[in-house]
Amino acid sequence: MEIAVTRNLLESNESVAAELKELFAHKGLLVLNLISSPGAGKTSLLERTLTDLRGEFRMAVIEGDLQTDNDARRVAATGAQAVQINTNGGCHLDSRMVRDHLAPFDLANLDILFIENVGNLVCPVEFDCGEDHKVALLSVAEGDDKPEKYPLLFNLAKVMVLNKVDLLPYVDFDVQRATRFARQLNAALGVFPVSCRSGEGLDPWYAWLRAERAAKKQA
Amino acid sequence: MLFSMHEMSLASNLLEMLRQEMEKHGATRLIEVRVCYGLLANVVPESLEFAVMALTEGTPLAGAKVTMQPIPPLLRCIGCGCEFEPGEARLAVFSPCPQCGEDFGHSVLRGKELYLDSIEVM
Repeated sequence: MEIAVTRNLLESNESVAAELKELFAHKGLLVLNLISSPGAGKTSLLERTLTDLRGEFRMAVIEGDLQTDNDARRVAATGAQAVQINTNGGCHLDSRMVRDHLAPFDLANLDILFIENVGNLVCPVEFDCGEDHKVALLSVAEGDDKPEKYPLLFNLAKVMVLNKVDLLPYVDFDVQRATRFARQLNAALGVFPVSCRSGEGLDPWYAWLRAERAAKKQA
Repeated sequence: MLFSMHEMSLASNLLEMLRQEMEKHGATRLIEVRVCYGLLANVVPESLEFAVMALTEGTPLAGAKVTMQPIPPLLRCIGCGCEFEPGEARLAVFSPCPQCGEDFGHSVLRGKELYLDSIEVM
């Protein structure tokens, strides 16, 4: 007997993500999903942000990695609350993992929750974790053709943080090229060239966070 | 088990769906599973088949045939608005428009789908 089904394989992830969006909206909490290759500087960006804005916002982090709680410890050293998820080989975080790790947080008393996804430019893009926006992170130590090679992330992200710009004199990365391709995929993409090492360029990123936080609170 | 591809989690979603559908229809044996996937859906069909095999081993769902049906992409040109099927699916987002030649920034009308289409059961 043949049975016609037609069910989306991602439906269970998407239904939990929808529940999370409702919960986060109810709490007025801004949730950002950070996606990049391993080593682009997600944790460094968080260390800077959590330190520089700690007097302004109440922030917390969900850390996703295959193994270890190294990143959660780095982030917690800034004073922010951090929860580590080990995916044990899984290449992305999904909405259920996020939901199952929310218990330690007092969501009503938070302003911004960062989800630091597993370092990977492919799979994390497919799994909605209930976030308001995806933040794409790219470093100039990588190829400037990343937006061409991994279009979906740059297509769906709200902003692109371009990290390690202090290395530009030593690498062949063409900022114009990367930005042009990314913007062709996503005309409204905000681009923030920064160096988490030197602190250069972080102010526009902070201004964006403030604006998004204010918008979420009013909604 | 150490798997690093997201086909594993897709396969466990699929299995849950298969159990639900079989129970709903009072079926006892699964013969074939047909999955449709867009060529832009970031899915490796062989990996999904393998993951289904690995996860069903020793269960009542074991031994079912998995058929993966590809869906070719359909794009709308950002330049002239015409709809076209790109030649090389892998690079579809950057394919030149057959009418105006624009090769970047097209919107994807079809080709990102991933769904359980039908099952054959007893």
